Amino acid sequence: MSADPYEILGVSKTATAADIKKAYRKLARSNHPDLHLDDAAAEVRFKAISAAHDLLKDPATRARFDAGEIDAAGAERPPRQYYRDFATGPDNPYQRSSGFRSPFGSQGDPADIFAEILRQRGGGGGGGGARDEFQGFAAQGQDLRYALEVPFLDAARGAEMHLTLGDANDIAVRIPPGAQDGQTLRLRGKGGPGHGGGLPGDALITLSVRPHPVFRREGDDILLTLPITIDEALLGGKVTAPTITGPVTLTIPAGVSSGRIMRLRGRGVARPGQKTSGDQLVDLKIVAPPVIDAPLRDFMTEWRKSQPHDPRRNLLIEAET
Amino acid sequence: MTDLFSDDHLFSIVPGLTPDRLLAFLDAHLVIPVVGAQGVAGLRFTRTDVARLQFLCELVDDLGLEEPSLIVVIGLVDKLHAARSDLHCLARAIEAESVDVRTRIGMVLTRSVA
Repeated sequence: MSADPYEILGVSKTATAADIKKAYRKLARSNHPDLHLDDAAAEVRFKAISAAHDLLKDPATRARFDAGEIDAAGAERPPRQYYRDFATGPDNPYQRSSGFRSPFGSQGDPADIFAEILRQRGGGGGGGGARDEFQGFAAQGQDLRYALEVPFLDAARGAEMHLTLGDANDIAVRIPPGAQDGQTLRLRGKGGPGHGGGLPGDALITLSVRPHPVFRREGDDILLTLPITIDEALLGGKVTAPTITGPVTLTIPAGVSSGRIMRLRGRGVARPGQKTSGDQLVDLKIVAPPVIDAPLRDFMTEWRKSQPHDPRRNLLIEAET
Repeated sequence: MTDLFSDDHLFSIVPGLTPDRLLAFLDAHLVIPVVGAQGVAGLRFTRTDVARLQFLCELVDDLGLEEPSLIVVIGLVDKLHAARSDLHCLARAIEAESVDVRTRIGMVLTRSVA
């Protein structure tokens, strides 16, 4: 950033520290990205304002800037993520917006869904993470947060896991099929006890999905690298491929190369609220036999003499352009 | 894997956060730490918590809020995010409907605004 920090804050070069602070506060109020959620440009403006303030708030750096010893670029701030980048997502534990998504409540009937939203908004159920101190005489208990590591296949297929909560209170947690890394489950009433007849708080369980030695996941799709032999690649054939729901037979077409992706429809991860699952993408990888016997070597030696095919021909030409 | 940050780590990445201030935020339930379920000692914080803590520090340092007003402001911000999130879900649900249904909903909406 090269713009003049005085200009950015709208103060004169002779402004006092109090003037600078006042100008900065005013600008921060009207430009902070977390207070102006729909303003995409607020981030750029706030960054410039913060950098200008960083430079001028300290009398020593301000004096060095005024003397021309440092320039405005030195104060540039590293990129950061704002709360708004996380806050609207369904996994933000601080906003109670699971009305559409509760894995434990009823799903699908709009009447139930709206009743649930109204119940949450009605005030009786308490606010978000920042709870009012008093709600009449009854106060809802505190929400408690837990981390739970979930095996890859349990997250993909759904499972029931057990979690020991604070006071040695073992509870069952239903992991919904297609659970994602970082997803937070809300268990109503499993948090801290309520006060004065208030409802207990909720337990918020943040999942972290353990990687799998064979499968990888991209959204609802499962990725797998499948080794095949040279003859399977050249002649085609039926091979067995693992999927998250067990092995299936896969027909390899004749003449495939390494890197060919085959799609097994509906063999991926279930999509919440949808009938169809994701796919499994199988990345074929040709593997040489561990021992190359004499007949194979002889055949290949002969074959090489008579074959003009060069898969690198275009590559070498294109590399020159 | 989800990144979790220790409180010591927080002090080095959130400008303006001090142990006293974090304690005050925790007491007021402005942030809720994660309790490690599998052998993790102490409190842990997610990326969302880090961004939220930085926002809280800025509300105090840059906008001059004190605790009672801080609780009100962050509570309203959370409610705003919840309402936006619900609205977004509704919009997506409507988007997935047929043209016929979308037109009917559109007519009701424009009528109620007019």
